[in-house]
Amino acid sequence: MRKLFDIIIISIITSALVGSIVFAQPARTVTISSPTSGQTFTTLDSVTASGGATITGGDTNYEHYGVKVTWGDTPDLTTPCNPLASDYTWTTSPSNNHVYSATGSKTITAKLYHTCVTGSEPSPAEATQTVDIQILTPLCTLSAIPDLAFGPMNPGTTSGDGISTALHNTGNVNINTLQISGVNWQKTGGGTIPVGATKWALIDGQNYDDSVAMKALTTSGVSLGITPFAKDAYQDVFFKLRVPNDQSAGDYTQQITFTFGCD
Amino acid sequence: MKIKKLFATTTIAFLLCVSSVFALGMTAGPVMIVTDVGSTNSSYFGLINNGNETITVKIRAEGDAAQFLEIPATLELVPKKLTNVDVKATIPSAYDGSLGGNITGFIYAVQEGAPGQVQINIQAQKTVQILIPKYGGKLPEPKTPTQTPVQTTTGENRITGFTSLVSNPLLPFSIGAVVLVFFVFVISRRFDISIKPKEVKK
Repeated sequence: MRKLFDIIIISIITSALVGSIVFAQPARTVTISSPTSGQTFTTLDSVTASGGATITGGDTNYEHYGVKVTWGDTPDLTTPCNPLASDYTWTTSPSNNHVYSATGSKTITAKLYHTCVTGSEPSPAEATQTVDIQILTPLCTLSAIPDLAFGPMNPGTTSGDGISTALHNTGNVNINTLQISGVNWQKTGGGTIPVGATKWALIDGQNYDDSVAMKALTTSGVSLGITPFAKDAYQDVFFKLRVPNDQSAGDYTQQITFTFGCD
Repeated sequence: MKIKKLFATTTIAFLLCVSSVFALGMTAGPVMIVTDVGSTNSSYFGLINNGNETITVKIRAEGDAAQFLEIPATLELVPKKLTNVDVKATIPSAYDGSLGGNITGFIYAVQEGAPGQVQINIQAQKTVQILIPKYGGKLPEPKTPTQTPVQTTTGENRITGFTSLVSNPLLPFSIGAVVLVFFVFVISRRFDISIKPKEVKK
């Protein structure tokens, strides 16, 4: 009798133990793989969110699940539920990507729902993940370093290689237009050298007389031909000057202007 | 290629150290001002001086829209601070629509370089559109930007979702605890049984 009682007790406990493993509470996690925390965007960017999910135990048919994304904007917006696109991955559809209208720190939240595919979410989200991103003012910024100097030159001579200025876009969006222009060399007390005596190229060591390789500077803006000039992009611009024969001696100066835009 | 880029970066960094930084920036996108005949409206765009000294930029307008615009002639820019350029557009009552309802122009902001044999100037160009509803001018429909988002830093995602027993890393310990409780229970039962005095039938 006592043995039978022990067997029953052991059976009950063993069943409970096995049951606790086999019929454990289902595991549900959702992850945001893009964007990542700390990533920066501008108010011109269309932000896409994507990630994955793990579904273990219970109903593991991924087609029964979906993810809703909340963008952390003000007023906040939530995309419609995105059914899992494949085996436990998801991405916001292009029409549901988000363009932020204001700058600042934003928290993107992804919530995994079981009944999402039906269009209603009567039960709480089964898993949640958030990432923090930064929305910046879109800026394009141009620097040109250093100033140029050809040094003393004699009439009829041409300057050598290696005289350049480096352009750099230190902003966070592309520069879409980038032009170069100049004015005549002006001598203190009168006298000029035509603006076109200065030529430029994007590669060092070009022949001054090669009209294709080296372009004469003009008073009207001419595209440098390097747009879009991406953020963090660098470009050296090399210059050569030929002083005309019989040019009167004196101190000459010239102004060169780089004009940029990001409309 | 990497060496070339590294060299360029190092060169720029060196030049930034030995000379004053010289960089002018502006906010992206055109300025669009909707105003009707006989009215005035305004907008703005931002300029930023990424140098290390306060500068004064000269501002001017060109193109068809210039005659209708009012802008500051100069603007002082302190380092690293976005400063707005106010742009006011006035369409006089006498405007006959000869330029249409969408009048385009440009605003230029010039940062002049240091005087020398060759002075390098940086000039920001901002497109301005004056839209006059009476002559068909209207704001464009919103469009989805095509610019690819850029990543500058990366970091760990913060997971706040719950984790169940199955995926819990403490699962082995949980099972171990259950097994331990089970054996303690059995042993204690056997112990209880072993010390239980036999009942004496009277």
